[in-house]
Amino acid sequence: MYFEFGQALQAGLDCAGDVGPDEGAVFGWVRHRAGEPPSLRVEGRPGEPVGTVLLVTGPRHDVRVGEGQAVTGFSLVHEVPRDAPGRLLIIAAGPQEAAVDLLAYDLPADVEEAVSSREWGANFGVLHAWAGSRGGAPAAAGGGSGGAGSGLFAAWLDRLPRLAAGGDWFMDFRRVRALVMPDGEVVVSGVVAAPGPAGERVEASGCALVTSPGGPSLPIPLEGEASVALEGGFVLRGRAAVPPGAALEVVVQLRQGGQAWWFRAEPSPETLPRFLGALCLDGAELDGPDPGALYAWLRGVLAGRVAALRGRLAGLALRGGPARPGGTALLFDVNDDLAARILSLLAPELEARFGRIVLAGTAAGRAAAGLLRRGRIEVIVEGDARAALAAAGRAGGAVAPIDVAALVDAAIEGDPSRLTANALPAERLGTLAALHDVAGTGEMETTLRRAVALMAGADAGALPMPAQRPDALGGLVAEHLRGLWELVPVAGAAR
Amino acid sequence: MSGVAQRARTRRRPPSVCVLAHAHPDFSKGGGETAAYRHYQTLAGEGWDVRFVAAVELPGGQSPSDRGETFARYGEGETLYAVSGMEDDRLWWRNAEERRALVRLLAGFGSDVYHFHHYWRAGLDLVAELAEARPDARLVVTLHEMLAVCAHHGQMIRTRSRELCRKETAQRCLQCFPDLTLERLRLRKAMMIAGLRRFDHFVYPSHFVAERYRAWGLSPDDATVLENYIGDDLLALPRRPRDSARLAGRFAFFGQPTEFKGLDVLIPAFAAALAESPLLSLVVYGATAEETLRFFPQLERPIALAADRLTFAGRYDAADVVGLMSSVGWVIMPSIWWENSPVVIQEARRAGTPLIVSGIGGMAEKVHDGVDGLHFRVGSAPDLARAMLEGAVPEAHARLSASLRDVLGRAEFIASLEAIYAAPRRNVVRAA
Repeated sequence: MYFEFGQALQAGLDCAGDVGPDEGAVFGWVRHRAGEPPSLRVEGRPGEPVGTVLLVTGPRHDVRVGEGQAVTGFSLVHEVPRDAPGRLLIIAAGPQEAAVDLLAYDLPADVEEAVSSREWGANFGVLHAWAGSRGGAPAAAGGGSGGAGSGLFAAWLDRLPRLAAGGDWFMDFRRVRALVMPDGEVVVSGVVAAPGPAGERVEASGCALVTSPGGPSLPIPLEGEASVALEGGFVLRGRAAVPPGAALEVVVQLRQGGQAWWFRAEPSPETLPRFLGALCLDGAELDGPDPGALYAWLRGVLAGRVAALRGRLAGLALRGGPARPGGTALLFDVNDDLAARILSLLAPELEARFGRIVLAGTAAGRAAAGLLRRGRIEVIVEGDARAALAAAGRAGGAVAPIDVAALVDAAIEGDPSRLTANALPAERLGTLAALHDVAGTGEMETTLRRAVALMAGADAGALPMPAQRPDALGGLVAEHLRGLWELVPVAGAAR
Repeated sequence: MSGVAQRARTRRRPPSVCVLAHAHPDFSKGGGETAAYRHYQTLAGEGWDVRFVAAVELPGGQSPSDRGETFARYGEGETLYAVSGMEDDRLWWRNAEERRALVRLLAGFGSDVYHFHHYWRAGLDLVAELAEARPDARLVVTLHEMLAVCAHHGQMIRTRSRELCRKETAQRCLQCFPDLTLERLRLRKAMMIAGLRRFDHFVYPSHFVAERYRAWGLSPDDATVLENYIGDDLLALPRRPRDSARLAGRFAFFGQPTEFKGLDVLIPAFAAALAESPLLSLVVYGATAEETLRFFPQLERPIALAADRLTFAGRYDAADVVGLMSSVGWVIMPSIWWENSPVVIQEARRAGTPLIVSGIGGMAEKVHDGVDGLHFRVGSAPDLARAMLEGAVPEAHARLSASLRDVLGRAEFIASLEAIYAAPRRNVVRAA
């Protein structure tokens, strides 16, 4: 509905209704003099304003603009006035102020219907702002009383394209990835499939959508949201405070020139190297101003990561000490039949030093068979190193993590006592898992190998790092990974 | 009899010995199994309580027992066992029950000493299990070759260039086996060395092999170099003086025409020497001309040049070898690999016939250049031709023949074994 308040100020209201028992919303636009952006509020009575929950403004390309004029679209969510005869929308621009009683006209009152039919950028703007302003509002996405899927934005969200983890081609982009670290750090990145005009960069922004089992979907902010605008791609990064057991999605908006894209991405849990790979767009050829822009941005992001993790890593000290008889040997990476044979050959020495052995790897079952047949030591077989670590932790006592290289060294040198040199108390095994989450350079096996090597006095700088893109960006990532481990205090018996 | 005399006799009672071999010479004629069987026969002949247990691979993986058991008696004091329950590499038992049965059999013998010749077809796991089952017994192994050191059939020859390999490292081995990984090669070594350390004592047939194992990681403290015993029958043959004037120009080769035995070096060398000294002759025992040309087609021209001065005598009976060697002036061993402790050298020394050998490995150790034989540069036909011409001079032949040592005697062999078997066992780690 169109309202004219003179030559300098006009407004159009798309809808005005309630979005909950305590909140109402008004969507519309204001045409005003250029350079005099409007301010908007709702009053119950003249001079008695109610609280503004959020006000999001943006362009309205569907409204004609005259010379010297500008148009500002708006989405205003406000508290519902109590015991008031009206609901006045106050529009001020420059010296002029106008009021519209929202209850006096037959304005569309179905806000959800309005959301589903209007421009998606406006919706995203409201969702993004809503997530940021209140840390989540059931009315926004999941819909308070109606449960998940019935909220104000539910219908619109259902219509967004969905990306699960990643895709080589997704909409107009290649190598799109959505990854999440254990602490909720998220990256969504991709490469433009067909480059646009020079100078047009992809602007990315997003917010998280968390859904607890049986509960509503809540928009929450990506804390520390940061993105880099590139001509050939985009990277969006932030951290979502995901409650335990909740599912995480990211609602993403991309804009480049006159084009825009919106989608929902379901990030997949990933190792740190792959996460960093998505951050630096590994596998993508960048040219023009993009490499420099991405480098500068990435350097800041990584420096921020280091600063944020410094304290935590300092508290994840690796302090190996000699294991007493009866403890646990945690043997991971048992992937080769020959390793299983070596374990059988060293069985008497292991039995003399440990009360329990936890095995992980593809040949762990065969290794266990020989030890089980002897029946002199408790044997636990787990499918992977993470599960083995947990099993060893449950066992209590001292746990000696042993990789195949250490087993081989002990066998070749005829010195099995080396296997007990650097054990950790079971209650400190969580350190290894935490280290992996924060600074792992691959799978859990890789982290355990690194921890074993460091406690044995290996030169941290010589330990293997995952391959990176062969340019300055790759160098930044490698340096970041190395730097994280340099923050970890290490002590143990050197080889 | 006085108490002192009784104690003395008690002390001298030889230990009971179980000799284990990877094969029985009734089924194959390799040097290792032959040495193992002679070992067994010699101890038996001395009146020792001794048994012989050998692996056998019968057609279709059949058991040597018609009741399907893993093992079967094979004459007085001898047992054969099947290896079909082992992994393909014959270093480990796939069927743990068969291994256990065999360990029970061996442990049940109650031998004081278990002396293995080779661990291939015995299984490193069997050795470890036997060591635990019989902690009071002494486990000895004769390492006839270098399988543990080198994944290339123990030959220590580079797989690609066929160069001689002088040092084992996982990094160098990776060049020979680029499809493997460093980790896999290190695992292999760790498995081998952990398995071999279950033995209390190592016997090497040559210092060359002993040194290779020392460099590889086995302690030399529990090791003895003891040449294989050639056997009572060959030792009983008379050793006649050489007629150097008649024999100096007669050469012979004994062996198979395989790629590492060096026939492709010898025949061109002989053709070259013949051009300077037309009365020389060469007999190749163990191969026909056709077999030789099949392996080495490039030898057609030198064989033609040698004409009737070169004879291919084909197969020969092992029992005749000393007699055949006695009929020539020189035995030539031109192998292009190390040859750990060649039986041919022992047989030639027994025959009193000096040797011309490649100057490497076990050959260089067993034949002393310019003392009781001649060396030439391995793989070099011109240098071998030079050595043949030098050896064809009767005075040189007479001088070298005169200083040629005989082989290890029976008494020395027995005494060495007694010393090896008498040493105390090392401390053995037992399970908690």
